[in-house]
Amino acid sequence: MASLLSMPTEVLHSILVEVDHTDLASLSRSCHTLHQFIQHDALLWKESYLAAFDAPSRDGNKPEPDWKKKLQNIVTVQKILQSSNSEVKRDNIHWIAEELHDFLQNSPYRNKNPTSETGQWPWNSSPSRNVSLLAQYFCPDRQDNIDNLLCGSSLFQKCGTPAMKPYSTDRECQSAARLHVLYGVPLDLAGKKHATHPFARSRVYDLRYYTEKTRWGPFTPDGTMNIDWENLEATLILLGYNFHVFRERTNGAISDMWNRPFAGIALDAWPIVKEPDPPVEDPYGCHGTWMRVVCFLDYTDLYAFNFSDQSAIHKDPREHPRDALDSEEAIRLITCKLRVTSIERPEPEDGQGLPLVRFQGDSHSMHSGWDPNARSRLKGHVRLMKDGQIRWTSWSIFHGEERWRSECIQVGGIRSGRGILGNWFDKDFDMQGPVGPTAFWKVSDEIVDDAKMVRMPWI
Amino acid sequence: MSATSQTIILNSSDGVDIPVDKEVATRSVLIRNLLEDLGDTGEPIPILNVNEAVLKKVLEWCEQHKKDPPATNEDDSDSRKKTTDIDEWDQKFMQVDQEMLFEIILAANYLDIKALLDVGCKTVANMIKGKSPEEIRKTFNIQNDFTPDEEDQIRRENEWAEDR
Repeated sequence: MASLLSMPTEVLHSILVEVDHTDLASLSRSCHTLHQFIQHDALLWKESYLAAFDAPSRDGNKPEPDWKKKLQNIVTVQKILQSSNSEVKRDNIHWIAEELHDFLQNSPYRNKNPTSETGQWPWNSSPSRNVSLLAQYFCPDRQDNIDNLLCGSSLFQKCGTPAMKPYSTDRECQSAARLHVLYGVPLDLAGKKHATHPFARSRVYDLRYYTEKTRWGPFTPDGTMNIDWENLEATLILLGYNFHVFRERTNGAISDMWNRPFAGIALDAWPIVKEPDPPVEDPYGCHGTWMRVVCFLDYTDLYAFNFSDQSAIHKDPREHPRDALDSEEAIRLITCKLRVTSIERPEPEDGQGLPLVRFQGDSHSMHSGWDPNARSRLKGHVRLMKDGQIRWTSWSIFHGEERWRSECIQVGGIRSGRGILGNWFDKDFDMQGPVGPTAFWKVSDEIVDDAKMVRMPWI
Repeated sequence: MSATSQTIILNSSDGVDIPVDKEVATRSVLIRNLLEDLGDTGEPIPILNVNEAVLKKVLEWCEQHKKDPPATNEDDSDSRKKTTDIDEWDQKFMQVDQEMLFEIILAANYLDIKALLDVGCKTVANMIKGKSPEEIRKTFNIQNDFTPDEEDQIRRENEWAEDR
């Protein structure tokens, strides 16, 4: 008699492929036959994953992923995001951050070169299936996910709503900050009582964080060279705020920047550009035209903020955070045209999977000609770190002299659309500053001339 | 002459001759290939694995779908979209007892009628949707053959899909 269990293998497989993936769990639990069949049908898990989510970018050299684990993990994350139980979210913050990073990084999305008329930054224009799926769990209806998962770094000790509470351990605070950076839309709140940007400003301009141990960059103060996601989160909030203010003052002369949840994280958004000279591939995609944003405080304000209270200077900044800082900053938008100058072996302390790539280029302030820093040269290098992160170091050169240095981290995967985030400081590591936040993101694979640049859809 | 040449005869596993339009019968890739290989001899074609009742049912589906465009060869499973939507006529057609449903699926598999096999599989998937293990057992008359220990272990193994 024909029945479910009497179906031949290939037919049972065809039925199970049509089943919702969460129903596979109930089927597994119904009897031995189905349990055995489902647990060992590797193709079923692959097909079920691909039916629901974006096909991950594949590196031909890597082995086939464990599709069963991949599917089960992302379903568990979804179940936690769907839940109204805050505890279960908070208990799993670290794991969720890891999983979502992987999930987003592997959502294939290739930038189109900026010919579109949409007025969106290239990496913003068409989100992948994974990105759309995830964004719906962080829409205004799911304020609980925003509160518990994105607003949980130590920054939220003093700002945000009462529902936004910092986690109790450093590791969890870092994970919440990391999720906020991946989310990419700076969470700032209207009104003095809740606004996050004065606290982000206080964090970014606190010179006590700029030490040998942090390499003056977005690294944790313990000297491990782990990324300090709380620093990057503050940078994101601050640049986002300043960018908004700038847009308002100029009546939207430039497209809004960080306004699409989880956009621009996928690796490989920009293709690898082959340089004729040297004839090698730059895996980081340096070559091309980039936008850069830099903010800075009036030096008197920076000095007063850091040195008025002498007793605080030697205190641990994490235990004794400085007060909110309301001073207004200046913002500069800069275009950079970068070319690769050499591709070298990685240094011993780097990750060994990718080369060290050096680049040079011109930068050009988009503000009026009275700015003495309007034109400068830029040089730098990109490297893979041991933990797989991509680190960008650069120097701004004025009249042949290096002046500012910056340390940035690629947000998302290699050649991601979102670009890089970090800080700038004096190239001689002057203990008295100045310092500030900065970000770069690529706008074209080509070296676009200035006349063409101003016709780009977002400017 | 032309009218009769369009009719072929299928012989079911229980020995019944069933005349049918060639256009209808060739929804089955198996029958189409047989006709191409053997030529149209006018002899009944034996359908070894399908009895009269099921074969008639399958041919009813083929009649309804004879004008459908041939299935596109979409083999890029990477971008396959899952849909459990079944059109209205097919839904009604599949309102049969469970044994007949699985017989139709087996026949569609044997006769190589991909679209009918899909409809069958989707119908079964819809019967599973959202059910607990116990409800699945009831629906498909499955014996719970786990020991309590196994049951507990397998429940934990499948916690990934549980609501939180």
